[in-house]
Amino acid sequence: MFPDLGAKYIHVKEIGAGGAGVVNLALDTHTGFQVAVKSLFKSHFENNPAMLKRFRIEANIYLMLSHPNIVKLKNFILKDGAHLVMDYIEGMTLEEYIKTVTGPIPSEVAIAIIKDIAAAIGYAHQKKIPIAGYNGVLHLDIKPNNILISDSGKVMVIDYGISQGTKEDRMDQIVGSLMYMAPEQLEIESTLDHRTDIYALGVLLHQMLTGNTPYSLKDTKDEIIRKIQKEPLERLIAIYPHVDNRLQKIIDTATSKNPDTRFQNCDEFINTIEQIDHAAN
Amino acid sequence: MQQIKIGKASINDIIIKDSTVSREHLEIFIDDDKNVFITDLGSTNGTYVNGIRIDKSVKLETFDILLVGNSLIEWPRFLIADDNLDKVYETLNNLPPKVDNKLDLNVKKNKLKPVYKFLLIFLLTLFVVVLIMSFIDKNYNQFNNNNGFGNISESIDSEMQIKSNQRKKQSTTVTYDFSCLSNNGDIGSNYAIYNFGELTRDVQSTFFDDINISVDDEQDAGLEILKTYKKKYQFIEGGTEFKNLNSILRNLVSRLAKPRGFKYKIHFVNDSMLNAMTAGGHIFFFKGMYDFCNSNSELAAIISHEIAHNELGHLTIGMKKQKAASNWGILGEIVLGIENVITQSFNQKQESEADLFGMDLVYPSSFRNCDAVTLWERMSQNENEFDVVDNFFRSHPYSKNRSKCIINHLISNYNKNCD
Repeated sequence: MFPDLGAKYIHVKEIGAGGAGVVNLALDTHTGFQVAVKSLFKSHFENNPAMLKRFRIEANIYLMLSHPNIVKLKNFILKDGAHLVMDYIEGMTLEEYIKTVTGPIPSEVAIAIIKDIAAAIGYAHQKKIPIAGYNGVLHLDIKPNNILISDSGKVMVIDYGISQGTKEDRMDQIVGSLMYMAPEQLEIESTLDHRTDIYALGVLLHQMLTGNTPYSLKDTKDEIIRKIQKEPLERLIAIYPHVDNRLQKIIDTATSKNPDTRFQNCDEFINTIEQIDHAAN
Repeated sequence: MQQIKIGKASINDIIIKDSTVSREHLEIFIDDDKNVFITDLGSTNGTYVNGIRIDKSVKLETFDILLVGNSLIEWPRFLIADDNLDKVYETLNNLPPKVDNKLDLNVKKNKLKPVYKFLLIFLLTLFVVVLIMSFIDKNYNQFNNNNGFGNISESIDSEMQIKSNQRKKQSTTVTYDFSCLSNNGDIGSNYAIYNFGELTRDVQSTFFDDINISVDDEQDAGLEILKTYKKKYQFIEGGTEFKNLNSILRNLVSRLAKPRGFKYKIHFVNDSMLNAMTAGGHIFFFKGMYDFCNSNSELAAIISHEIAHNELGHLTIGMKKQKAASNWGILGEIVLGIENVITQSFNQKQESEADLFGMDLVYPSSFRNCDAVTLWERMSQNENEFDVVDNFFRSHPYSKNRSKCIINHLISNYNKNCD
């Protein structure tokens, strides 16, 4: 279902749908570019002003983050629902990419991808934006489904929908992205900071290198929670005999249970990875 | 209290160089309590708050999104005490470039021309990995010592052929049968039988007729890849092995019946990866691959395969698609590193086409065609060992089916049995 957004946008096709909204591909007739229109149904926020607020914050975050690896806002429309108009990235999610194109991603390529993602996430961490409660922008929902690989191979971070958020906001998300959560994200009362995103970057790197989700899809929710709290991720060497041990160390440091023993910021994470990169050359 | 005028003309406080913005487009008024009001100054394309065009003065609320013509304005920044206007300017200057034209069908065609300046960037996307990379087990060196390149008679033979003026060319009467790619063996509608002309005609393929990619464009792409690779790898530019590769290359290139005109060049990469790849006549041959090969005939199988990718226009088709895609404005997305480039690949049919065309080049030379079969089979055995390490086999499919295609091709066209 495409909302009536006036003559500026011509509907092309629906490209995604969820409970609260729908994503459509449309043509911006003023610019000639295709755009992705992420719409929130009016019925879903009429009685839930917090939901609309979050959506509007998401629009403002995109507006203020100007990075080559973060998808850009083109417009925001409050009419017949709420609609984020974004740059359209032709390609697929990293999840589909791993499933259908690559399987385990060669370390060289995985390093290149994670560096782009970490650069985007790190840029947002340092970005001061004039919204109360935001001291830098956290993503908090980094997972393969929120990374796009464009047909030309470019890496884009999408979905700053949870972002900093309130503790209540975070509760909403526990189901969807449990696999990529840091231990502290399981605690409703804990304060999250940029090191929570570092944890997710480590999990993401693990998934790219192994081709596997961080925990078995057969694991129950309780088992996953226990593993997040107690167990390190599966050893790369178990699936990946010639692994560069430094990659394992990077994943271990990033996914340390204690935020204090992780990389303390994205730059540190990137620098360590680059050492492998350079050594490989 | 602060008043900020925004528009295209230089008299404004904030200048937005966007043709959809009027000379004096709107005014922002911030009162002492930091309330923000905006007034459209009769602009042509309008001022929008949350997507709704305003026709009178409006107070902006937190999180409202302000669109001026086609430009989004980060107006909340105006409220930050420390931020002076210089910083605001800077912010706006950093906004992505604006698109000037309204859409009509003519505009789309015009856009192809500015696209040209991005061509170099596109070229990077066209790079192809043909074979498989991995860490090579040093055990293979044993093979080399036994069966390696000290095969003097073979080398001399090749050299002599190069000096000969009466070169035998590849046959143009062969047929290419791809039914072997189908698992159940029957010739389904997916796999046709082509003759030489049909296979090579794909280069001038009609589906992107109006888009021209010349051999020069492809060679430029190759040069771009070369530049990137020079930063990344060491190249071996002399010595017996390098000379040997070049001699095999010259031999095989001279077999081309209808060369497209590439200036072929071997770049010998000092890296233990089991890898070889090509772009625009540039062939990147990794030391790991060299060490893996047991004879010059095996090296010839790989080099001829790489030549074939160029001659069959596999790169051209990809480049055309890229250029066509730029019509639709994903231009800004096409900024590539070499890392991304190696994620591109040929499909299985193209790999098989390159195998068979390569065999046609090998046949009139003194190299042994059947060595190709054993080489590919040996490599496919390593697939299992290597695919968990660096999974290039999945994006660069090799299968038993492909050997089957080679064997069939040699029997049916040359009556040559490799068993």
